[in-house]
Amino acid sequence: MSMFMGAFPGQEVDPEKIKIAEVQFDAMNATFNNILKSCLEKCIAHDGYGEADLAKGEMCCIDRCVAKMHYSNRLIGGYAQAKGFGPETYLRHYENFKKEEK
Amino acid sequence: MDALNAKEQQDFQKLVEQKQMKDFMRLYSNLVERCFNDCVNDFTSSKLTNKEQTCILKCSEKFLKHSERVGQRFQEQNAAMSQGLNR
Repeated sequence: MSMFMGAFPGQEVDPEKIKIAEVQFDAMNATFNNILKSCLEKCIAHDGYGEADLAKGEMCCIDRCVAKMHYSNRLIGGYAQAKGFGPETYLRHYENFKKEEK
Repeated sequence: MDALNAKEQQDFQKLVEQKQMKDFMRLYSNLVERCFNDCVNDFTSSKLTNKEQTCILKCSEKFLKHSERVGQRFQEQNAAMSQGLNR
């Protein structure tokens, strides 16, 4: 009997690929949670919860807020990429610790 | 990036489920924090007044509807982006 009798015989798991998928997922998740938090702050008033449903104005605000923040994200992403924004240039102090490790 | 094979997809799915649970707990604690802070400001009694209770319930419903709507719009934006329709 083969010991590779799982649900997917003959398929290897590459932990590197899972890790990359996880990083991508985390990035998307962080973006979503940011949008959720920011648009709640910007569109839903803190006082007077007279109505449980979203008002017309609130719905409209949310739709525009999500679209704008999504676009802002991409805009800043493009700018950051063009500027070479990355941990190597902007978090230089990490270098000290990396050297010590070696 | 290469697509994940079926076995990898299964492992990744497990990871996503764990993250979803964690994320849900965070959403819930954010909900309680916001609605408590916005609705309960009077501490002359240890019981929630009727007014505070209705406020909390309405606040919670609104919070969930907000999350739902943002989720829908976010998905639409992502879909539009991957189709290159967007600016």
